[in-house]
Order: sequence, then C-alpha cells, then structure tokens
Amino acid sequence: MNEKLSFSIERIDKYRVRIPRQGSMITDGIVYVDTAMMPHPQEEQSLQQVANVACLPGIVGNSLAMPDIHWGYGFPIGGVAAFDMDSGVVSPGGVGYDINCGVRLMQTALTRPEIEGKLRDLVEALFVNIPSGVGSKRTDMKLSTKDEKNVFIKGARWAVEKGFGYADDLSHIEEHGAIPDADPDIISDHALERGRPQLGTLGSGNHFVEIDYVEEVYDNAIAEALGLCKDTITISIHSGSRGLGYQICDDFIKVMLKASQKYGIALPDKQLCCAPIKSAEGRSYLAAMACAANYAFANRQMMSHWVRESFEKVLRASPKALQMKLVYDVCHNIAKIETHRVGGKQKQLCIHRKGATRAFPAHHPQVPDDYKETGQPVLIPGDMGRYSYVLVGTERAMEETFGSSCHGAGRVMSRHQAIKAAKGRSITREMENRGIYVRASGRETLVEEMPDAYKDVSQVVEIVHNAGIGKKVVKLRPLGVMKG
Amino acid sequence: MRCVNVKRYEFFNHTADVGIRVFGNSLAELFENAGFALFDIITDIAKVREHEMRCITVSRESIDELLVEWLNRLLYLNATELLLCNKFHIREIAQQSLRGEAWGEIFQDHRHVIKTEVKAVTYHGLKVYEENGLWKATVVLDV
Repeated sequence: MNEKLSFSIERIDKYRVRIPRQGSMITDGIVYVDTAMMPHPQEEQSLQQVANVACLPGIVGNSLAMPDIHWGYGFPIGGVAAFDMDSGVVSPGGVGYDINCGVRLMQTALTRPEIEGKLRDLVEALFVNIPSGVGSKRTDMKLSTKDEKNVFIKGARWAVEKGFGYADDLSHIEEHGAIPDADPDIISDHALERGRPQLGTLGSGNHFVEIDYVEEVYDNAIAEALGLCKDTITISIHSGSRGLGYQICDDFIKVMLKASQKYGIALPDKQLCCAPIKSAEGRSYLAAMACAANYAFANRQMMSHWVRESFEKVLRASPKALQMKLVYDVCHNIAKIETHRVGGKQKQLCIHRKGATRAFPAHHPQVPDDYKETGQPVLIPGDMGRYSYVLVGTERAMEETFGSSCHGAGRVMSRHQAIKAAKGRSITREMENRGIYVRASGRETLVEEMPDAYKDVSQVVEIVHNAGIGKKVVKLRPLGVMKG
Repeated sequence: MRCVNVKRYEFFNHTADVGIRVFGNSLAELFENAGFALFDIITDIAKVREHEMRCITVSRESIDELLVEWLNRLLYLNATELLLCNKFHIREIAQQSLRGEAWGEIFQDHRHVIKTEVKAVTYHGLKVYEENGLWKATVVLDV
C-alpha cells in the first residue's frame, strides 16, 4: 500500500510521530514508532485510521497508537483513545471482535533443565486437557443459560467458585477478573448460543498455550518481585471471548450504525460507528462488552487450572509444590472506565484499548498490593518461534498514553501469503530445530502463525521501553507451544 | 444459471485477515458465490455433501449490509451447529432483504477438515457493486 496519505505528519523525537490536527480531526494523533519500524510514515495507511479516530466527538488527549500498530477495523490495532463520559462516544470498533482477547502468565519454581526431558509430554497433556481448534467445545461440561449468565457477571470468580484455580489468583487479574456493570439480559440469543459450548476452550488462529523459560532479566528487583528468575519456567495463555465476543461485537455494530445516524455523528469510516457513552446504546454496549470480557477472564482462569493439572499429571508434583502461581492477566481488546489526570484534575474517562495493554505504574490504586513497588505487569507475547516479554507500567505511560502500552508483534504477512511462503516446508520441523516443540490442531493454522508471518516483537518492546511507556523486566523464550 | 466463465471469488491482500472479492452474473449469484467463498475458506468444500438444508431470511438497511448479514447468518449456523455448506440458492433478493437456502452437512471428524476459523464478517472495505454487467463484492473476514 504505497498511496501517499493526504495529511501532514511530523516526527517529534526518535520514538514518536505526530499527525497534527487538521481537517476534521479534533486533536493530534501520536504514534509511537521509530524510523526502522516505520521508514515512510506518509505511506502508512494505518495512520489514516489514527487520524480518523481523532475526529470522534469527545475525544480527550490525543488519538494514540502503539509501536505494534497495523491496519484494523475502524481503529488501528495498537490504538488507544480516551473519551469524555458526557460528551464522548464508545465504539465497538475501538475494542474489536475478540472482546478481552488477552494474555495470562503463570510462574513456576521449575527450571529449564528440570523439564527438558518432559517437554513433549507436557505439551501433549495440555493438548489433551485444553480443547482447541475450530469449533472446539467441551463435552464434559454442560453450561446452562443460568450458569452462562453467572459467568458474565462474576467472570474469573465464577471459575474459582467452581473449583478452577485459587481465590488468590483473582488479585492478579486486571479488574480482579470481572468488569463491573455487566448485564446478561441484553445478550442476544445468538450470542448465548455461540458462547455456551465454548467456555473452557482455547480457540484457534493466534491463540495459544505456551511453555517458556526466562532467558534474560533486565531488572533483577522487579523480576524477583514478580517471581520470575532466570531459567525458570513460565506458562502463557493467549485467548479471548470466543464466539460470544464475536457475536456481541457484530450485534452491536448493527446497533451503533443506526445510533451514529440517530445522534448525528459524522463517521470518517463506517467501522468507527459509535454512540454517546451515556446513551442507551452506549450503556448497553458497555454492559454487553463487560459480559464478554468476564467470560474471557473465566475462560483463562479455567484453562490455567488445566495447565496446573497437566503439569501435576506429567511431573507428579502438586501445583502448590511446583509453585504454579499467576503472575498477571491482562486485556488487549477492551473499553474501560478509568480515572486519569487531565488538565491537573482527576477525570473519569472511557479508554478504548484495541490491541493495547493497560500499563499502570507503581503505587496506582488498581495495582495489586504485592506489586505496589513494581507497577503492573504488562505481558507482551511475540510469535511462537522467537520470544515474549514482561514489562511493567510507568508514570510516563500514565501521563502520555492513559496508562497504556503495546500488546504484541503484529503481522507482516497475510495468512494467504504465509501459506504460499510455507509451501514445501515443515513448520513443525523448523520449530523443533529451534528447540521448540509445537502441537497444533490444524496444519494450516500452524503455517499461518509461523514466525516469518510476524514482526519482531523485540523492536516493538524496545520502542515502548525507550519511549518510557513501559519498562522491560524479562525476556521469555518458548520451549513448547500448543495452538488451536 | 451460472455462466461457467465467471470465477466465484479471489483473495485480495489483507495482512491480518482474509479479504475476498466475489463475482456473479446476478445479485443472487453474487450472494451464492459469497456463501461458497466463506465455506471454501473454512473447510475443504469438496468433501461436503448436501444432506441438510437451512432457510435463511434476512433484511438490512442496504445491499452491503445485507451481504454481511447473509454471511454472518451462515457463520452462526457453522458456529452453533457445526454446519458446513457447499451449495446456496437465493430465492428472492432485493436491496434490503433476501430469502435463501443453504445445503450442507454437520461436521464429522473423520470426513471433514477445518482449515480456518472465521470469527466474523466485517464491514471493512465492504462494497457490493455492478461493473460492466458483472456483480462484484469486496468483503474482509476476521479470522
């Protein structure tokens, strides 16, 4: 896509680019990229989306994008935008189809040498215990509509009450695993139907469960506080709200297309369809979004229980003995009502993070007590062949990005291109040559998710770290991957 | 009656998801071919047999949105019933409504392969239009 954008762009410093307010924009766009990541910003179509978001009514501060920016639906992936509660709007496009797609990280006391001979068995056990792949559903668990609605309200707490994991886990989940004000009664029958059989499943595409080890430590004190020592084993889970979330998003895009017309909101792009936050439509969307978000929290809580069980079975030691604790669980696609400092005053705002992660600093009231000195962990998965990172939030992120940071690597190849590039190659064998055992439900998924298809996440993380909107703590390397 | 020279669809480049450009000699055929494209992406459509039929009636504000609705309804059947479809017939279609049928069978482990999970049909770059007597549509699927 080399068509030049029609608006002006200027570089602020090594890590920031500005789209100055122009045309219908109400505010500037600020994109966190360096020249290596984005050598020709004028030709970068995703910046058009940053500019479009800057046109939405009630936007507070700038229309932001993180270094993993790429073209999305309406909002760019990597987009962050805050809105005034009274004059601003909420948009499903600013959250995405996979509501509360997010990442959870677990720590263990195990070291790499201790599991080397058992890695295949561990990955196979995960594959058996966690349904994955297209159309995956659990046959051992029948969720009634009443149960499903309880999940929507209680989120991860529902799962803990049913015996999945520990109550201690909840304090290490964003929002304690349940966003308030969910309203199960507004969820459509279609969404309920899609959600019911899929609770407790991983899904497919870029969702995964991964066994990693801590390869490098950048900040010893913080790493220790998070329970991440060099060479120790960690487990990551990347998954979202499954068919429930996709259906809710689709249901509300229809509502918002009509609402945009009803409230006279000029849309530079139909996919930015929205409604005033306090309108009936806006409140309904947030209440439905919360249902999907809480379902995703419950889902990740259940899957981490099965991770613990898989390790227990293969290693013949209890999760408590293995010290399998939850480090943290974050959302990547969400709209949150948060309080931030604007013009010297505390102000309640609706923050959209689409392919972006909350990154609150040390001493923030929403950061768990045992992380008060470190700041909130920020989990950044890379592709399955290279590395992932753990960062913590910073004060500068609070000042500049409403306490937000990047979320991952971003694709460079379309799925179609990846399939072509992989012809005649065995991705499984290539991964094994790198020392990574991979198990996937579908060959095509594996090919579409191969490392070559993704940007190098370390570039993304370096920009975030150097711009000061996240602080590197550790680098993780994959050993075993389970994909849907 | 489908003109054999018209291909049903082709891919266009979209980094994160799947972009398709669909063709048809009529609006009805365009929508039938869009249904075909959806399931051709989801599964090995050659292995799907016409054992069951579902009637689908939808209405939306415009022809573009109608296409999204038609495909999302098919996707819903795929997601909730594990239905795979290989044949489509649009009985009636206007700018804001259609009545159609989809034939296929329920997914069976030993016979069918699922290639890609399509999460949703998006409005991104959505366009239904006629050009030189041929109906075309562009639509992006979130996968």
